[in-house]
Amino acid sequence: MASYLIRRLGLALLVVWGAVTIMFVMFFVIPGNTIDILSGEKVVRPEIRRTIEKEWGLDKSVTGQYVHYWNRVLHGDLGKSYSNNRSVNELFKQRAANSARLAFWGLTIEIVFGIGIGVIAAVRKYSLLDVVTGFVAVALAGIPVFVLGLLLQYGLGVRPAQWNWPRWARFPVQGMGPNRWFVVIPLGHQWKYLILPAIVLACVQTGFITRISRTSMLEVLNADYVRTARAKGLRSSTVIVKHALRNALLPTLTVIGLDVIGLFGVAVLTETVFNWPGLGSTIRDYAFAQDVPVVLGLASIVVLFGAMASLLVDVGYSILDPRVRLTTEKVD
Amino acid sequence: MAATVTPAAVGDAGLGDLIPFWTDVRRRFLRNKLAVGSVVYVVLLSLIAILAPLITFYGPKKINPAASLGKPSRAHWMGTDLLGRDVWTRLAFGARISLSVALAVVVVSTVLSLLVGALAGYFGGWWDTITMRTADVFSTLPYIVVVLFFISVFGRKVWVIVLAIVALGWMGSARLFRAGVLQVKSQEYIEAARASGCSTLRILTRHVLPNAIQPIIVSVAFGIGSAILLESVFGFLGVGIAEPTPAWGLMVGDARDHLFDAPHLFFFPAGALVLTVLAFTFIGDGLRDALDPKLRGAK
Repeated sequence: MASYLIRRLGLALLVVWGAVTIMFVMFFVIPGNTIDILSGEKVVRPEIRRTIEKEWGLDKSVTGQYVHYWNRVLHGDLGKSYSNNRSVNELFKQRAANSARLAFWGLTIEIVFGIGIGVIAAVRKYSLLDVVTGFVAVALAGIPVFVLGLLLQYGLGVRPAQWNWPRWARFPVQGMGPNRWFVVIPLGHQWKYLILPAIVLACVQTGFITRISRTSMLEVLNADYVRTARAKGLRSSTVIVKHALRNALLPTLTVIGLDVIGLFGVAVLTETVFNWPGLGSTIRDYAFAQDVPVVLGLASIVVLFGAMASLLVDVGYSILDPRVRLTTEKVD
Repeated sequence: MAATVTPAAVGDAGLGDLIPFWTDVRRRFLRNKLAVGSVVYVVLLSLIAILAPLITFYGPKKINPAASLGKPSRAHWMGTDLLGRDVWTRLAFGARISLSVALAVVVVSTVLSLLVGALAGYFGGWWDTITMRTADVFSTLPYIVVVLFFISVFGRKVWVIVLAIVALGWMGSARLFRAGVLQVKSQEYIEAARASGCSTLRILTRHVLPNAIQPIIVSVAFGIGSAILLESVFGFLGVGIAEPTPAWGLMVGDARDHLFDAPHLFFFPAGALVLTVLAFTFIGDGLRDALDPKLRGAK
C-alpha cells in the first residue's frame, strides 16, 4: 500500500509539474505580445519598453524566468495582473468562497439527482421514467451550458417580470444578491440567487452521472450475489440499497471525483452567464482582457486541485477495492 | 469490438450467403429514425451554408442603425440585432463558420491522433510513454488557458480557433485509436502478415487501420458535434472568432444583454446550435450502434 501511495503521489506531482511547465512555455517562452498588453497596445519607446521588461522580469533568460516563476509559486505568490496590477492571491481570496459555495450546491444537486435517477432507472428498466430520463440525459449533453443558463433566465426571470408574476415566482438573473451565508447555507433571499446557477452548473454532469450509475447498477443487479440475496428472501429494498447500490457506487464516485477540471470549465460559463462573482467569471474576464498572469495563476490552482481530487479518488478506490492496487502493481 | 466481421472473414468461415458487413451496417443505420433524421438535417444545414449568399438578402456584416433590434418581420424574418444586421443572414453565414471549423478540426485532429495514437499503440516503448503522458498532462489544462494562448499569440482568427480546439481534443481520440490498434495488433492475422514478410508500413495501412476503423468513424461524428459546441463556447465567452464575423456562439453572447427587449436574438442562434450539436450526437450514436450492435446503449 505504501509503495502504491508513493507512486501515485509522484504521478500526481509529475502531472502538476507538467501542466504548469506547459503553461509557462506557452505564455512566456513562445513570443507573444506581453509588452503590448502591458502598454495598452500603444507604440512604446525603447527605454520604457526596457523598464517594463525589467519590472516584470521579462529581461531575464528563459531559464531564469522559469526558476523565478517556480520560486514565486512555491512561496505562495501567484503573481499580479498585467492590466490593473492587482495581486492574484488577493483576487483568489475574494472570489474562491463564492465559487466554492456555488460548486457545493452544484455537486450536491448532481450527486443526489444523478445517482437517484440512475438507480431508479436501473431498477425500473424500460419504464417510462427510464426512457424519459435517458432521453433528457442525451438532450442535456447537446445543449450548451450557456444556452441552458440563458433559457432558465428567460423562462424564470425575464418572462415572469414582464408578465408581472407574483414576486415568489420570479428569480433574479444577474449577480449574487445579498451575499448572506452561513458557511454554505444561503440565508434569507440568497437561495433565489443561488438556485438557477447551481442547477445550470449541475446539469451536464447530472446526465452523465445518471447514465453511469444506471449502467453500473444494471451490471450489479445481474450479479450472482444479488441473486443470492434475493433468493435468501431479503426485502427488495434491502437488496437494492445494501447489496447492489454499495458496489454500483464505486464507478460513479470515480467519475464525480475525476471531473474537477471539467466542472471548472462549466463554472466559467455558468458564472459568466449569471454574473456570479466567482473564480470562473474572473478567469473569463481576465482571459477576455488577455491578462496572462491572472489566468495562469488561477489556472494553476485549478490544475493542482484537479490533481489532488484524482489522487484522492484513486487512493479511496484502492482502499475500497484492493483489486485495483494489485492490478496496477502487476502492470508496472 | 472483438469480433469484427469483415466480408473476407465471413467468406473464410464458409458461412454461406451472409450479407456483406457494410451492407449490414447501412441497413442497421437506416433503421434508426433519429439518426436518419439528423442526417437529413445536416444535409439541409450544409446546403444553407453553401448557398448562404443566394438565400439571404443582406450582407452578414451590413449595419443598418435604423433597423436596430427589430422584431421578426416580413423584411427580416428572424429580426435584426443591435446594429441592425439581419439575423437570418448572420445565421446562414454562421453555419459556414460552424461547419467549416468543425470539419477542419476533425480532419486535423483525426490525422494527428492517428499518427500519435496508432504509432504509440503499434510500436509502444518510449514514443508510447511520451505521447500518452503528454496527453495526460494536456487533459488537465483548463480550456480557457489553451484558447487564451492561441488567441494571444496569433489573434482571434478562424484557423487559430481550429488549432485551439484540436489542441484540446486530440487526447481523447489518440487514446481511442491507440486502444484500437493495441487490440488489433495482437490478432493472429497481423502475425501472419509479418511472418509473410510485409513491411511495417504495409501492415499498418493495409491490415491494422482497416480493422481499427470503426472507432475512428464514430469519433469523427462525435468530434464534429463537440467541435461546434466548443467553438460556440469560445464565441460566447468572447475568446473565439472576433466580431463582426457571424459565429453562432458570438450571436448568443450578444443576445445576453437583450433577453428583455429582443429575445429573438437569443432563440434563433441558440436553437440552431442545439439542433446541430444534437444532430451530430444522434448520428454518432446511430453509427456506433450500426457498426457494433453489441455496444448499443453503452457510452
